[in-house]
Amino acid sequence: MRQVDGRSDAELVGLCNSGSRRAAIDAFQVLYTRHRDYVLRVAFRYVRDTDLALDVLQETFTYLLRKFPPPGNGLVLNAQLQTLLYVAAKNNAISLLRKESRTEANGRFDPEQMPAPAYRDDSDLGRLLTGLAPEQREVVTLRFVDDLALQDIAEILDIPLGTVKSRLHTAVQAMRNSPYVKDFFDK
Amino acid sequence: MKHEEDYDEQLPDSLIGELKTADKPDSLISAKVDRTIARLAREQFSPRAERRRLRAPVWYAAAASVALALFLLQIQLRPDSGSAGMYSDVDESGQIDIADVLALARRDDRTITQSELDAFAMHVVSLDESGDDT
Repeated sequence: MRQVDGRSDAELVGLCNSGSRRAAIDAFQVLYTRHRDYVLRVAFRYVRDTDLALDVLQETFTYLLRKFPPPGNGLVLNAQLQTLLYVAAKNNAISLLRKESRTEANGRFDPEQMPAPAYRDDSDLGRLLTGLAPEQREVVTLRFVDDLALQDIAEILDIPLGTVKSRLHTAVQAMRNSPYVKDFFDK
Repeated sequence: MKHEEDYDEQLPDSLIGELKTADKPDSLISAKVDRTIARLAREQFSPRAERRRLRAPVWYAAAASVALALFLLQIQLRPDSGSAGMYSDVDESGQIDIADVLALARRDDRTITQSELDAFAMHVVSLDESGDDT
């Protein structure tokens, strides 16, 4: 069984920025292994297609890789790496959807509607989440599925902290009042 | 999970568990994708790429040196344009003096300007002054 690497993301990023070749490759590999499932999850939320999600995964880590020298100037972590990866994966997913919609007669992506995490299943939970406004669904997902702090969510979505709280409050109230998941609150 | 002390918007753990389950993608990441990422990382951090990075300033410096050398060579080869050529023993008297300036002025040489003649004269005067000092 592979041992969990105890080094922080910041330490690993530092090695990728300036470490020896072997140390940089090793550090990047650890970062990839640590975050690949998360990036795939984020990608899948938007594209809802395994192959496309894997393309987004590869694009996202290639983007991260190019931040390191050479040819990049090095990555400065001002927030959690997860925050950067979320934004990169989401943007890559949206780009891919736009490309797909250009090549398909009936594009799946409507540029007028910014995509939010999608749930296609017809379970009660799926119906509940689909019933939420896209921006509320995104905040709920970042908060409760990704376990992100409110400040991180604000940074990811580039909105004020107060707006995050307000969206979350509205979403949770809607969930409390929803007949689909009422049982969860009654327990 | 609660992140902020002053914020208590929460969902039941069982519902959070359901949300997390619903968020999981259908499939796992294939070994092929893992290998592709590993290959990209090896290429990115390869010694060749590192050498390219380290060598770049050396190449820039070498190119700048060659350009400078060519520039200086071009100046040196330009006929009768430098002061070294002009400040010479024009009348072949064995010394550089004001007679050389006058000899040069008498020549019908359109490549010599008045300011260059003045500079030659000043040069001769400064030579004389240094001779007086010794």
